[in-house]
Amino acid sequence: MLLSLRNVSKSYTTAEGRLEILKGIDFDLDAGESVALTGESGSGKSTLLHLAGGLDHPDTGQILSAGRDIAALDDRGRAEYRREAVGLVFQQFNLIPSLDVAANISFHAKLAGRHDREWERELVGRLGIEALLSRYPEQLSGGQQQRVAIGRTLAARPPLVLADEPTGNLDESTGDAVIGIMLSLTKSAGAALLMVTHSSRLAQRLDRKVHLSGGKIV
Amino acid sequence: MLWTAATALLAHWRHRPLQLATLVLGLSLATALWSGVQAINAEARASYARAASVLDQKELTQLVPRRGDSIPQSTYVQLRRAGWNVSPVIEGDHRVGNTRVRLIGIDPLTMPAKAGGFETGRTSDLTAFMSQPGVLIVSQGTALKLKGHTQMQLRISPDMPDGAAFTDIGIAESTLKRRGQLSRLLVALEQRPDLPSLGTLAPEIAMKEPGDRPDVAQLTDSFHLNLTAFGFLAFVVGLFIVYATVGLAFEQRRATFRTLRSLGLPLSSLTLLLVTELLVLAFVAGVVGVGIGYIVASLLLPGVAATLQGLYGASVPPALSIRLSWWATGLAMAIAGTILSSAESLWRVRSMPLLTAAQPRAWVRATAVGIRLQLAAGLLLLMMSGALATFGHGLMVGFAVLGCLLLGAALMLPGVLSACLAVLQKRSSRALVTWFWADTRQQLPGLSLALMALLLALAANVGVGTMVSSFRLTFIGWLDQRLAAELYVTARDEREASRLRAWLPARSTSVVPIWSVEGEVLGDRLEIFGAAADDPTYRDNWPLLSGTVDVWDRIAAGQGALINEQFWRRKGLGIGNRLVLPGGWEVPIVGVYSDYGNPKGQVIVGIDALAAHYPDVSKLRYGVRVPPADAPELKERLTSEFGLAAENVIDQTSLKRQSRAVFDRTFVVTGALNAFTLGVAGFAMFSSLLTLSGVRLPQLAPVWAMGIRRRDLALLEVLRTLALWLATFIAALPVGLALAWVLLSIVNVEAFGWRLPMRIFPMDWLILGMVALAAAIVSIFVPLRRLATIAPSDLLRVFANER
Repeated sequence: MLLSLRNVSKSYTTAEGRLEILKGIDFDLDAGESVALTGESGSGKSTLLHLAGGLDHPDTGQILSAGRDIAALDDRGRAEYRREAVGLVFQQFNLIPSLDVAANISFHAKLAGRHDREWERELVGRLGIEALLSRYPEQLSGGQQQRVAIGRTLAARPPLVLADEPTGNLDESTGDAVIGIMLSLTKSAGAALLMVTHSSRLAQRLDRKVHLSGGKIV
Repeated sequence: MLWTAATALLAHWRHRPLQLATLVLGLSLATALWSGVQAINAEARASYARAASVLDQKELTQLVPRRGDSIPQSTYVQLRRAGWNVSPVIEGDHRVGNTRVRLIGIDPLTMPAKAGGFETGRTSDLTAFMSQPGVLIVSQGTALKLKGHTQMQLRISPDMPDGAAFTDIGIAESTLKRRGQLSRLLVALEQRPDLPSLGTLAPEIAMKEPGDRPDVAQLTDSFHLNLTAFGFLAFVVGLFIVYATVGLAFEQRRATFRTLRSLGLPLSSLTLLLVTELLVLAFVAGVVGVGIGYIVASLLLPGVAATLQGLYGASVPPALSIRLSWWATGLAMAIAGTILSSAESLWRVRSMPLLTAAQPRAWVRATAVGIRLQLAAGLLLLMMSGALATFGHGLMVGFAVLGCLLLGAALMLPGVLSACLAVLQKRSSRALVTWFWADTRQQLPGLSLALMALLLALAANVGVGTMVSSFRLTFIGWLDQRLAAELYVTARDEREASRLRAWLPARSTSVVPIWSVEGEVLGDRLEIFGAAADDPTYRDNWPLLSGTVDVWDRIAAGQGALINEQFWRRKGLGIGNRLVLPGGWEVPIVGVYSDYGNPKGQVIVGIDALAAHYPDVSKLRYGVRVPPADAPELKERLTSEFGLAAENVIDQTSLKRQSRAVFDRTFVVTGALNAFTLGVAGFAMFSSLLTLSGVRLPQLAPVWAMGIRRRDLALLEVLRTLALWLATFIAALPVGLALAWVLLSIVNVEAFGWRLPMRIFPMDWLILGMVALAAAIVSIFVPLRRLATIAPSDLLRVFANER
C-alpha cells in the first residue's frame, strides 16, 4: 500500500466557530493506481489532498506512506516527505515566477536529488513544450502553464502524484488533453495519482472514484 | 453615493493598520527632517537679521568710505554743518581678557531713533554712558564673559546678540585707537529738503541703501545650503516610502475600484475620493511631521549654533521659536510630496480600463525595460556630474555635481544589481541556489526604491564622514604645527604688555608677538597679522601651500606678505601680485598658507613692518617658547610672580584641546543629520520588506510545497536581505568616496575657500556597515517573524481553488 489514511479527522477554526472538514476518513491508495476524488465544494477534497501531501496535519488519525506515519512527523520530516515522495499539481499551476520553464521543470527533481536529463527531455517532448523552455510562466497560457506544472511534478519521479483540480482553470478540450498526458505519463513513471475533480467525465478516466460528502467518504 | 464609496475605499486601511502606519510615518519622517532643517535655517536667518538690525542698523541708509575703511571726522563735521542729519559710528574688534567683542561706538545724542535696539535710559544713565570709564551694553551671555575683566559698567540688553557691545563713541575711539577715524555714518530718516548733494560735499564717501543682506547671512549661505541639501535628501528618501506604500495600497484596491466603477461610480468621483483620501493622510502626516520636525530642530539647534559660532562667529540663540510660515511650509511640502509620489498611481487609476483584472504584483512597477531606462538615465547623470565637475565653477555647480552624482548612482543601482544577480543565477547549479538568485532578482523592482534610499543614505554617510574625518585629521595636524608656542599670554593693557616684553625674554627661549590690525584689503575686511619671521617658530612650523624660496626672509624684511588660502582663492591671487594694505602700503604676495576654520581672509606681514605702518597696533598677545618641560613652571610664575591673571595664560595643550572641542562640536549636527537620514532609509527598507512580505506567499508557497521548510525559507529571506544590503553597501562606497571628493575639492573650496587632502578611513566604513547591517536586520525582523510563524493553512490558501 502506497498511502493509507486511518480515521483521519480535520477541523478549522473560523469566525463562526469550529468547522469539521473531515470526520474519521479511511482511505487506501496502491502504487500505480489512479483515483478520482469527487464531492461538493467544501466537502473536504482539497483538505484530504493537503493532508496526504504532508502540507497540513490532521487533528487525529494516521497517514501512512511506505510504512511511516507522516502525521507524526515534525516540520523537517514532512518537508522531506514532500520533497522525496510527493508530486503536487494545482489548479492555479503555482509555477515559480522567477524561473524560466526549463528551470521550473527541473526544480523539484533537483531538490529531490533525482535530476535525470534524459527523462526530463522525454517529458518535455511528450508534453509538447520544447519551444517554451526559455519562457517565463507569465508568458504562457493556462494550458501551457499546467503542462509545465505536470512536467515539474513528474520530472522528480515521485511515487505519489496529488492533483487538485488540475483542469479547473482550463477549457474543456485543453483540460482533456492535459489529463490525457498526465494519466499517460503517470502510468509511464509508475506513480500513483490522487486527483481532485468536479468533473465526473474526467473521473471516469481514472482507475477508481471516491466521493466525499459531509466530511466522510460515501 | 460618494459617502458609501468612500466607506468601501477606507475599509482597506481598517484591515491594514500597519500599512497605514507605514504611510503616515514615512511621510511624517520625510516632512520632519525637511521642516526641522527649515526651522533651523529660519531661526538662524532671523537671528542674523536681528543682529544686523541692531548692530549694523541695516534699516537705515548709511554713508561708508568709497576706499579704505574710515571716514575722517572732519567729513562728518562738514556734513552736519551743511545740514545733513547724520550720526557717527566707530567699530572694531576689541579683546577684553580672553574674549573678543565687536565694539560699536555710537553717539547717543545724534543717533536716529530707528537705529538702536536698545535704550540708553535716563539722563543719569546717559551721563554715565558718555563718561569714563564708560558703559558696555551687551547681551547676558557676553556680560558673563566680560565680568571682572573690564572696569566699564556692564548693562544687559535683551536685544543684543552675543559677542558685541555698544558703547559711547568717545570711549570706542580711545579703546580702538581710532583717533578721528569714523567707520560709517547713519543717515536719519528726517532730513531737510534742500540738502546739498553728497557728491559735492564729500565725494570720498558713498551712500549705502538700507536692506542689504547681513554679511554673516551671506557668509553662512553655503552652510544653510548644506543643511537644506541634507533635509531634501531625507525628504526624497521619505517620499520613496510614500511612493511604494501608496502604490501597493492602490494595487491592492484595484478590485474594489473595478467593482465601484461597475456599480456606477463615475471615474471622476473615484479620483476625487482618492485625492481627498491622500490629502487627508498628507495633512495628518504633515502635522505629525512638522511636530517631529520641531523636536528634531530643537535637538539640533544647539549643535547648529555651535557650528555657526565655530565656523563663522555667527551668534544664533540655541532656542527655537515657532513660526506660522514654517508650519505652513512644512504642511505644504507634505501635501506636495504626497501628490507627487502618488501621481503615477492616480494616473493608473484614471487610465485603467473598467474590466482590467487585479494583478497582485503589478505595483512592482519597474519592469526590465524600466530598469534598463533607469540605468541609461543614471549613466547620463553620472556623465553630467563628471562634465560639471570638470568644466563648471561655483557653489551651485558643486551642488549640481553632487545631485547628479547621487541621483545617477541611485538610478543605476537596480540595473547593476539585476545584472549581478543574473550572472550569479547563471553560475549556480543547485536548484535552491538558482531559485534564490532568481527570486532575489524578481524582488528587485519592489525593493529598488528602498535600496536606492539606502544607497543614498550610506553614500551620504561615507561621503560626509570621509570629508569630516579628512578635515579633522588635516585640522589637527595643522593645529599641531601652527600652535607651536608652549604658552600663549594676553596682557590686560599696554602697560602690562610692556612689562611682559621686558620680563619674558630672560625666562624663555623666545617671545613671539601676536599682533594684528583690522583693515580693508581688495574690498574685504580682514585681519593683518605681524609675524616675527626671524624666529624659527614660523620658519619651522608655519604650513605654507606655496611661496617663494626666500619667503620668510622677505617677510622679516617687510618686503612681502603672506595671505591665507581662502583669500588667495576668493580673489584669484598669485605669488608676486601686489596688495594694497590700509594706509596705501603696497606689498607683494610671497606665500600662501592654509588657515582652516577661518571664513575670512587674512594677511601676514613682518612684525616690525606692521608696527612701523600701524603704530597703534594692540600689543597685548604673545606666544612664548620654552622647553616643554618648563612650560608649567613658567605658567605658574607668570601668575604668581608676574601677576598676570590665570585666564590670561593658556598652555598649548589646553588651547589645542579647546580648538579640537570647537571642531568636534562643529560637526555634531552633521553626524546627527547623517544618523537621521540613515534612520529614514532603514525605515524605507522596513516598509518595503513589510509590503513585499504581504505579496510573497504565492512565490514562496510552491517552494514550501516542494519540501523546503518555513524555517529555511525564512533563513533565505534573511540571506536575501543581507545580500542586497551588502551589495548596496559595496555600491555606496565608491559613490560615497566620489561624494567626499566633490565636497572636499569643489563644495568646500567654493563655500569656505580651503581645499583639504582626502583621507580614507576603512574603519569608519566598517562601523557604518555594522550600523546599516543592524538596521537591515531590524527591518527584516517583523516580515521574517511573520513568515517563520505563518500557519500552513495560510500557505495552503495559495493553492486553494476557492481563492
